[in-house]
Parts: sequence; structure tokens; C-alpha cells
Amino acid sequence: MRPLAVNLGSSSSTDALSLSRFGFVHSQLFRQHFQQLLESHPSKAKCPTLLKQQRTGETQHSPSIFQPAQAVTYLITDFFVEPHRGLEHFYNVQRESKIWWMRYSSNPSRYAIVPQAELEKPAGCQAIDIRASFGTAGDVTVEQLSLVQLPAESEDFQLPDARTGAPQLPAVIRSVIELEPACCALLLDGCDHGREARSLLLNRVLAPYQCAIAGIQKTEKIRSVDLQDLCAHVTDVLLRARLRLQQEGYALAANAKQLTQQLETYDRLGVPYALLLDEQQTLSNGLLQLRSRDTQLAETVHISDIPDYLLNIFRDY
Amino acid sequence: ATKAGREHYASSSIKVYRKIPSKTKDGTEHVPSAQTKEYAENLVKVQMISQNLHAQLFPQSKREYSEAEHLAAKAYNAELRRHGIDVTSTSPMPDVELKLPPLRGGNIEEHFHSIAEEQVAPYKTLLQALIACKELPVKPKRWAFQAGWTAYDPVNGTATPVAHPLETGIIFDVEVCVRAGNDPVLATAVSTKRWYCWVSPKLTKHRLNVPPVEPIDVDSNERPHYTLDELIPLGHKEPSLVVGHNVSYDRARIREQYLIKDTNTRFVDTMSLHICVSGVTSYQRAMLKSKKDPAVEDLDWLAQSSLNNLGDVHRLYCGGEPLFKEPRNIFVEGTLEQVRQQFQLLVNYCAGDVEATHRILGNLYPLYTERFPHPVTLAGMLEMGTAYLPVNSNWERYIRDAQLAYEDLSIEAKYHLGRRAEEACALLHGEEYRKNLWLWDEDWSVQELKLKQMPKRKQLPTVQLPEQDLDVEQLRLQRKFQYLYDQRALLPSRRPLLPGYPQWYRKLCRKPPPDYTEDVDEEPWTPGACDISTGMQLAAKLLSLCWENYPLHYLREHGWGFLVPFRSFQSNRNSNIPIEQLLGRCAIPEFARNFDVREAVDLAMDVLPKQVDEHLSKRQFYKRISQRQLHLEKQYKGSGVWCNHVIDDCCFFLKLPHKNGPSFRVGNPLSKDFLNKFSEHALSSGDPSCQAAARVIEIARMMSYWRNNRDRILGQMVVWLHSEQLPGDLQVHAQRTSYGAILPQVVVAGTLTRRAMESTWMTASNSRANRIGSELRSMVQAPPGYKLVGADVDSQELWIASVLGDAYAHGEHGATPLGWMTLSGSKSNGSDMHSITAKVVGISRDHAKVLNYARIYGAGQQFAETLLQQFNPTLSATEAKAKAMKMFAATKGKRVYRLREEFHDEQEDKAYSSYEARRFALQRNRSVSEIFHRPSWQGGTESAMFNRLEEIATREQPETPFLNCRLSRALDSHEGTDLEQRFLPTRVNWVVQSGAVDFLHLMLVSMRWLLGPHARFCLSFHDELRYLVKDELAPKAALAMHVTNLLTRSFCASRIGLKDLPMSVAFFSSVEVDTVLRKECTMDCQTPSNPHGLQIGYGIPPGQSLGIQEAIVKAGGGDLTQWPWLKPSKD
Repeated sequence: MRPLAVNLGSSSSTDALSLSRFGFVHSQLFRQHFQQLLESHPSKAKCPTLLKQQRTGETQHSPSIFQPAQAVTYLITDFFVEPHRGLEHFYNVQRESKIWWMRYSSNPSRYAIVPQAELEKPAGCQAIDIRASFGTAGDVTVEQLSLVQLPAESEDFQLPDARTGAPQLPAVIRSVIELEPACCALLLDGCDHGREARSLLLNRVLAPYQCAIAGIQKTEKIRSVDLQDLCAHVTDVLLRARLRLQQEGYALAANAKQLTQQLETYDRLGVPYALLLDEQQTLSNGLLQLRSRDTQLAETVHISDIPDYLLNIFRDY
Repeated sequence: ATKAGREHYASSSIKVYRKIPSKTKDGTEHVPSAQTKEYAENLVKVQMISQNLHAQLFPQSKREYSEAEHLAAKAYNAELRRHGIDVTSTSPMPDVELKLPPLRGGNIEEHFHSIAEEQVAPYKTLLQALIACKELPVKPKRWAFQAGWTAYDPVNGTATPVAHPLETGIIFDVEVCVRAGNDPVLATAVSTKRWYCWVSPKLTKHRLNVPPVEPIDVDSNERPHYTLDELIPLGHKEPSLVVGHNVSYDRARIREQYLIKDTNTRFVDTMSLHICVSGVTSYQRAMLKSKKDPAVEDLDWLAQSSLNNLGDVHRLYCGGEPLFKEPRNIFVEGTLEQVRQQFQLLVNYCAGDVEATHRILGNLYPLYTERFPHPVTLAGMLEMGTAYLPVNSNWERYIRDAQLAYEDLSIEAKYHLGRRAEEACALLHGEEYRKNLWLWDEDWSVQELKLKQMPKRKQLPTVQLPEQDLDVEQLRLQRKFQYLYDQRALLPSRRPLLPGYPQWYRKLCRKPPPDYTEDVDEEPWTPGACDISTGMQLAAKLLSLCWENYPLHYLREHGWGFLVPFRSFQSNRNSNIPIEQLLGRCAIPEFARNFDVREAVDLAMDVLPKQVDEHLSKRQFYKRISQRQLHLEKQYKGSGVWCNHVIDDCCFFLKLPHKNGPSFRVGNPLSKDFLNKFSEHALSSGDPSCQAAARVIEIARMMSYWRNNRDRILGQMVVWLHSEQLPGDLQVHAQRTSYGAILPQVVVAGTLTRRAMESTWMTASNSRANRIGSELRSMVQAPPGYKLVGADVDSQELWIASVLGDAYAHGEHGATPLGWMTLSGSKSNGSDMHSITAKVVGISRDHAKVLNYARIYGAGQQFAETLLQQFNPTLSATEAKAKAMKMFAATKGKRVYRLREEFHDEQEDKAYSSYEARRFALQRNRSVSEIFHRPSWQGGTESAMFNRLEEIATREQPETPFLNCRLSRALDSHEGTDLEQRFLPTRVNWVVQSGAVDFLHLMLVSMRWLLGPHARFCLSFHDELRYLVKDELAPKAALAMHVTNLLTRSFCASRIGLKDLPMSVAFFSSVEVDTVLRKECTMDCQTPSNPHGLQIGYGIPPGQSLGIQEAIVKAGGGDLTQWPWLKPSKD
């Protein structure tokens, strides 16, 4: 969507100024990064451009249920944009970022853009937070966006305009995500859905385990080698297709009760889909059931459609 | 005050202490000026305009009252008291001192006549020359296929390229190849001297050297962007005239019209002239369009009118052969190539329309001048035809933001609905859906995936599986299960979608692609209910919506309604209604208990008293409501509409109320008209855990404006100006911002009442916080160095109506209760009309305001009932009726009938009610009008006004009171009172609305007189007027607006015999000096698509709002004769 100019990798910093909401432009680190852009990526050093970096440091927020007390990981993205269109870009970035969070949520309406009106802002600066609301439990800031003007007196920050080539002093839009609380928010989002079923509704693209496999035995007593083999084969097929599965691969259920329990476990783990292999049916004709965590229903698919059907489902756009 | 101002005030005995009009409200520091010599009040203590103004505007009339007048005043003062009006309750306003330019002529009436004559003179000359030309020049035999203008010699047909038509008066028609864009492809014009034809370079394939308009950062493939080079040049700096049918369409394709400076070209629209002379009501239009044979009583007006298109208008005024309109289809449906191929035919067709327009003009214009004698009417129409809306790059940003906000929200709503759908799927287990109050009647059938029979003899083909990179075990397993893969051949060729899922859910999903590829196709497939939207019936069910706590239900014949149980069991075993669950949610209501369908009529008969009171019999007399319905309606207190429908002998089905009345069906409970009910808890989700419902409804509400208006807004033809086409001081700004303009396609007299019509800007509502894109109007933005100056006429129609009543009843401003309330009533002490109605009826002031206007526009009691129920859905029909009756009795009064003299011996000569009159007439077997005089209104605050309006409306030839404009021929009475009665509400409404159009035309003429070429007319929207002026002239323009209001109202008052004007209506309450078009200059227009507001989001500061005193100060004093262009000339 936005062409990345430079990924500056990860660093650990104790410099408070370089993490300050508006003051970071005056930090040594920021200047350093800018120089790095000019020197090692001259072709990308045009306006607009984009820098990314990862940083570990103390959190800026007071600890809460979402907020770990120890150091957090910052994901920082700096957009350098044409100065006269700074506001316009700022609004676009806000919108795009909010949509990103909404797309992976079980309740997109929980995300809101909250203007940081109380912050003391230098001239031409703007700041908003993207917050996820969890009702009475409170809000968590998942991303901070700020529009900052570069120090006008300095000529070091000049970038040529990508279209006209005219040098100009860009405006900076900085996005800061504190990864740990943000992940915590995403996880909680999966639980807070108001359904009766105790499922963890993680987005299928984010779920650590995308699919589970369960074999259903014909009789309670005898463990079928063929069914086990088939389960092993399907597991292998899915793993080769790079789908994420549980370590132990598959589970066998000897009766309906065991199957129900197994499915409940999958739901609570947030596994969005389970392939059900029935000893009687699947072994004879290759038809299996694809059971969905979200609808609690299963559709019939043929073994020959695996894994393409699942790959289509898990495609991330 | 400025220095100049002080000098001016030196002669005055008062000083203006306060500059900000809002301070008047506290009243404490108010300086009573009753003693000053400028102060004046009339016989009902209404403050009149200051003495200096009166002396300038009504020089002949003296402010003195005769004995008789004082005596009469006693009577009407008593009437005011009877209606609870305390005439001493007002506090005076500061006096205003102005030096107006001397009036032309002896009085204000002559003044307007003469300035309007002067303004239209050059155009009238051009127009009359065209009309006088009975034989147009000879049309050339062959048209030259040559880009740009070509002139044709009238004698030998020689074609000569010209820059633009040489004469200043032309009849003109443009053709557009609709599928190739909005820009013109060819045009023809004729003057009294010769023919012209214009051909687009696009058509002749001349390379257009059009540099892109740089700073707009929008993909022009998305929507076309137009520049002046694609348009038709007409040239001319001197006054010139273009005549056309629906000429605003042609005007929007004329090059010079988009320049910021006005070129003095004016447009005469034969369609508008036709509507003035022969316009029709919407009912009549439907009749004209219908193919049925007309009834006898309609023949008269049918012969006097037609639809508005050129063909029909030509038939009406010119008769003869119908126009040949066949080639038109090529412009509508064809391609540019087809236009090229049929060039000669199409130019001839276009020229044919020009000739037809000329013939129409010749026959129509004399009718027009006869029926619309005042020059102000034509002057106003010419001015209205020059609307101009400046825009800049923000227009593109607005569209982008609105589209994005719309998409974002629709995705969000869709996502919630999808989640609800997924959740509902689980109801399939154990047939739980049978107990669900909303989803029980969906299609829950499930399809299975079955394999075909294994062929007995043949072997199945082997499916090739990749074996590369597999280890031994992997290979073993794959080979072991090869036979399962091979059975792929037995799968049905058309695979069922989602086998195992209910049918209703499957309908929401799409088929997955047959296999997986790494690259993403254009529209990627996603699993789940992707084809779901708030527009679907299913949406309301998934959200478990309830009305008054009863579950919603849809029936094809009645639309959306809800289920009300009346029995706790189903006698019908086949019924699927989950009656048990329904009763668990809502008990059988009182009115439905003991109800049995079969016995309904008997029961109702028992319950109804044998002796029906007059009220009921009256209702039967008029409405013939079924008794059963009457019974239920009385018992049921909610707002659902009884439609006589019982489902499975256990539930009533009641329709959701529709804003247009009980006979309409509600198609979508998430639609616009319904959403406001949600806040009143009538419509809610029946599932308390479903927070999504509230959010989805909120989203649907936000999306409705953009959904309804998007196409019109995207279809606006914006023409962008290159920097060299801008005035010099603007060119520096053009590097970062693009400037352009929209010419709204205004039909200057588009309705029966001659109001202007336009589909986007004139219907644009004000910005609302929860409507995407409703900041539309504020996207009209003055270029740097310019301001938009304008005002809304304060309660224009109310004043017109009330002043007519005042003049008619007592010849004194404010002498009727309505008049007094309009002039001196105030919202703050509850003495204005809306507060008083609110008090009488027991509703909020805002609701009362709607009802008051509805009534003045001619709506009856029944309409008021519907409105009342709409405001408060829990109000029963009976309660609504009672409230409406009470309101009408207090305001309009009672309708009374007086016997004709010849019946005085038979019956007592008193005021009869309409019921009594009808009964009496029925007894005599005669019509009411044979026995009684025309009824009149009595006893209400507005009776005088209605009597006056009806008096005008029922005249043989009704005319507007101000400019003597006649009613359309289609509504003129033709021997007999039939049409008069039939169209009475329309005619009454016409008096006020058409009067308001006169008012607007007068204002336009006055502004032109005061500011000349220094203000460019932008847009007028009913009672609103906006001009584009240079920054430095903005304060003067604001003062000119105030003076315009003063002059216009004085003219109107004078025309109906009142030689004075109340101070409260003399000036606008405020004139807005602003950079954008908006209702109030402080409105920040925050919407979901403009979340930061205009100030932060677009960097647009609030404008200024100037009262008269402030305007005088800012304009450098109240002496208008010092304005350079108004300085009296020496001769």
C-alpha cells in the first residue's frame, strides 16, 4: 500500500527524547536515521517516503491490565510527506490505520480515533490515538499517530519533491505501536464478543492455529490404523501447504461426546476451522467435514479440494 | 462608529450603543428610545421603521391616525387580548439611520418599476428583435464539419469560421453525446442575421492541446474533468442574450460562464416561460403522462397545458406537425463515431430544435408579458439564470472523503451483519430456529454433497499428485490414499455451495475459486456471508428488530410490520409461528384478549353504543371506517397500522407506520425515514446482547444521505480553470490549489409557483453530524480574495401570509393575532407563533413549527394528524385527531357557512358548521354552494389570513399581490366553480409561494441596483440569497443586503396598501459574510466524512454574521450615496 523506503531494523534506546510524541524530531537518533536514508538509499530519499524501525524501551503509559510493567517493543513508522498536504495525509493515515485494526477485530466498532486535545502541541502539530474500547473494562491505545513539523531552521531535513524535484522541508507523520499491549488488545478482542459459545474469536488470519484435524472412529473400542494414517496424511498435506497446525497434529474421538469436547477445546483455543475425518465415510469416498468455529456448522468437502480450499480461506489481503 | 459614521450620526439625536445584536436579548442595558424623534409605533404598539427611513421610503404618507382609525384599533386590540397577546410586552429596538440613494420615481413602487425596466432594457431589446423576426435566415444546405464556430451566409450559404457568433442575440441549442461525457459535441445558433454551427474538436478529432490541471490529485479515469477548452465560446463583453429551451443545460456548456467575472450574457428559458404561463400541479402532470382517456372535467385545462419537453411545448403553442425527435437517441445512446457518421442529419436536427424554440418564443412571449406585466419578474428570472458556484480542489477531497467514509461504514455494517449471520447458523442444530422469533420463516433447508455411483466396469482416472520432495512415509501415505483422490471424478460437475449450511445463509455466500493461486485476482474471494447488506430483508431479522417490543415480520403484500399475539395456542397445527416464544416475550395485549376473528364483527357491534355521537357519525360520513377497525384502533394504543391481517389464527399482523400515510408499505426498516424512530425506542433490537443492532442502525443513518445523493453529486459538471484563466491576483494560489466552478442547472421557474428548481443544490440539506457527505454546501468556496455574502429572509412566507391578513382585515401591521405574533412575538418570552401553538396543543416548539408551516402551506387537519403521530409514534389516532382539531380551532378557526339570502325565511341566519351545512343541503337535495355563500374562517388567530388567501385564490383570475403575476392557465377557472374547488388548496398555497417568488425577484433587482456589477449572483434557494463579492466590498455588500430587505418589504407593504413597515422585519437578522456556503457562518460542518470540521480539517475559519448596525459600521457608515457607483450623476 505504502512503499517502504528503509527498514532501519531494531534498536534499543534509552533516549527519552527520541520517543517523545512531538519532540522526537529534535533527537540525535532521528537525525541519524534521516542521514541513513540520504546516504544508503538516495533513490528513495524523496518526498513522500517512509521509514520503519523497531525499538525496545520503557512504556510511556501507566500500567493497566493491558499494559505490561516491563519494557515494551515499539514499532515506529515515519512518513515524510509534502508539507502543504500534511493534514490531508495525516487524515488518510488515520483512516487507513483504523481500518487495519478493524479488519482483524471481532467487533470493528470498538475502534475509535481519539484526538489528543489535551496535549500541548507545537505549531502545526496534531495527534490522535487509535483506541480499542472494552466497555467497562476500559480502553487501550493500540496506535498513536502524530503529525509533526520539522525544525524549520535546519536545512538537513530537506527532501526533493518526488514529482517536481524541488527541495522542501517535509512534514512527518509518525505512527507508534506498542506491540505488547496491542497484542493483548487483539487477544482480548477475540474473547469479548457477547456470544453464548465460549469461543475465542480470533481473526482467521491472525489465529496461531488455523486448522485442527480430528478423526472420528467407527467404534469406541478399536483404534483404526487406516484412520490414523489418513489423519497423518491430511496433517502432512496441510503442513506442506504452510498452514499453521497444532504441534500434536491431530486428535481422535471415539464417540460423539469426545468429539464435542474436542471441538470445544478447539473453539477455546481460537482455531477457526477443524477438519473432521470420519472413519466410515472419509475412508471410503474421501468426503470430509470442514467445521467452522464461527458458525458451529460443518460443510462437506472432498479430500481432493484440500488444501486449496483452505488456502483460499486463509488468504490475507 | 468610524469617523465618517460619526459625522453622519451628528445630526441624529440617538447613538448606537450596542454593536452586537445578540445583546438585545438580555434587555438590561437597553436604551428605550420611545422618546427620541426617530422612534415610531403603530396602533398595536408595533415598532415601525425609524422616521428617517419612513421619510425616504414613503415620502407621501404621513404617520397620523384619524378618529375612525383609533376607534377601529380598539376592536382589534380587544381581539388580540382575547388571544392572550399583550401588546405592551415588547421592548423597542435601536433606531437605524441610513441615507439611501434617491428613489427613482415618486414612490417605492415606481422605483422598482423603473430600476427593473432599466436592468432588463438591453435584453428586452435583443429579445424583441428575435421575436419580431418572423422569418429566420435561410438554413444552410450543408453544414461544415469543422471544429469551432462556423457562420453561414444567409444568401449563398458560404461557411466562414468565426471565433463566436457575431450578433448578441441568439437562439441556441447544444447537443451532448451522453455516453462520451458531459461536454458538448455540437451546437447550433441563429440570430436575426444568420445561422451558426459549433462543432467540438473532439468530434473532428482535432488534437486538443489541453494541459492537465495540475494540482488536482485525482485519477481522471475515475470521473471526467472538464476544462474551458472543451466548451463553447460565446465571447461578448456587452449585454448579450441567449434563448433556449431548458437553457441552463446549454449554459453549463458555455465557456465564459465559468469565469469568475460575469460577462453580462443573460439567458431566456422558454421552458420556464412555459411553466409560468401553463405550468401544472404534480397531479396534473401525472394525468398528462397517463395514456388513459381524460375525464370530461379535465378537458379544459388539458387544452391549456402540456408537459415541459420541447416537443410537447411546441405542440401546445405552435400546433402543426409534431417535431421529429428520432435522432435524439443517437445523442443519448450512440457513440461519437455514430455522431460523426450522421453529422448532417444531427446538425439539422439540432437546428430544427432551434427553429422550434424560435416559434415557441414568438407565440409564448406575448402571453408571458400579458400575464406577468411587471418588469421585475423578467429581471428576476434573468438574474436567477446566472447562478454560479465557485469550487476548488477541496471538492475532489470532499468526494474522496465521503466515498471512503461511506465504504468504511458499509464494510463495518456488513461485518456486523455477517457475524450475526454466522451466529444464527448454529440454530440449525436441533432445529432451534423453529423457536426463533425472527428467523423461523427463513429457508433452513440443507443441501448434501453426494458422490455419483462408482462405475462398475471402468476404472476411475488417476488423479496426479506431486511426489517431489516427499520422504518415504509421506509417499507411502499418499499412495495409500490415492483411491480417495481418484474419486474426485465422481463429484457432481456443478458442486453445491456450502453443503451442510442452510439455504438462506448460502445465498449470502459466493463460490470459491476452483483452486488456489498465489496472485490475487481483481476481486478476491472471501469466505462467509459477503453478499449481505443493510438493504436486505434479512438484515432486520438478523438484528432481531422489534417495534414497540413486538418482533418485526415481513409480508410481501403489506411490507414490514410486526406480530401481536392474541391467542396462546395454535388451532392450526401447520402453523410455524413460534407462538410460545412470542408469548414469552410479549403477553397478549389488552385489546387483543378475547378476540376471535370469526366473531369480530359481532363483538364490535356489541361494544359500539347504539347511539353514536356526532363525532363518530361524522367520521362515518366522511371516512367510512370499518367498525371493527375502529374498535381495534381505539383499543390499540401503539403506532402500528391495522391492516386487517391475521396470521395462522394466533397473531395480528400490524404494519409499521409509513411517513406518507397508512396506505404505504415500509420496504426497509433500516431506511432513512425510520431511523429517527430508533431513538424513541419504538424500533429496537429484541436481543439485548446484540449491540451490533444499535450500531448497524446508527451506520445506516449515517450512510443514507450519501447513498441518496451520491449519483447527483458525482454527476456535477465541474469545470476547472487554468491559472491564466483566473484573475491576476488569484494566479499565485493556483499552483497548489485548483479553482473551478459548477453552474447549477437551475430551471428559473420550475414549478407551478414559479420557484426555481434544481436537483442537487436546491435540495441540499444543511450539514448534519451523523450524515456522510452532508457538508456538500460548504464545498462551495469563494476563491482567495473573495467572499460569499448572503442571508436568509427571516420567516419569509409567514410574513407574506400574515401581512396579507393584516392589510385585508384592518389595514395595519400586526393588527391580527397572527400578524402581531409574526412581527413582535419572541421566542424568549414564548409569545411567538410556534411557542403559542406548542402551548395550545401540548407539543414541543420544534414540532409546532413544522405543523404551523404545514398549515400555512395549505395542509389540512388530516395531514397534521399524520405529522403528530410521526413525531410521537405512541400517540394513538384518536389522540392525534384531538390534538389536530384543537390546533386548527385555535389557529385557522372554524369554517362557517352563511345562508344565501333567499333561504333566510326558511332557516335562521347564523354561522353554520360544515357538518350542519352538508346535512341541511342533503335534506334539501341541493349542493351546499346553492344554499350557502362561500364559507369563511372565524375565531382563530389565522382566520383573517386564510380568508384573504382564499379570497385571492377563488378569484376568476388570481394574481400575486405584489407583482400581479397570474396563476397558470392550467389552474385558471373556466366557467363554473369546479376547478376552483378542486384546486383550492393548491391555489391558496400558490398565493403565498408565488408571492415569495415575487419577493425574491424584487430582492435580486434591488441588489443589482445597489451593487451593479460588483456582486456576482451565486445561488438562491427559496428564501436564501448568496453573492460572490471581492473582499474589500464585502461589508458594503452586506449593507446592501440589509437595504434590499428594507426596500423589498417596503414595496410589498406598499403594494397591499400599507404605507409603513415594522422595524422587526425591516432588516435581516443577520447577513453572513463568509468564505463558504453554509447556513450559519459559525457552522463547522462536522460529519462522518469531515470528522475534524471545516476549521481544522480544511483550514476554513468561521465567517462573520453582521446585523444592520454592525453592517453600517463595517461598510463605513450608512450613507449609500457616497458609494462611488451610486453617487448621483451630474445630469
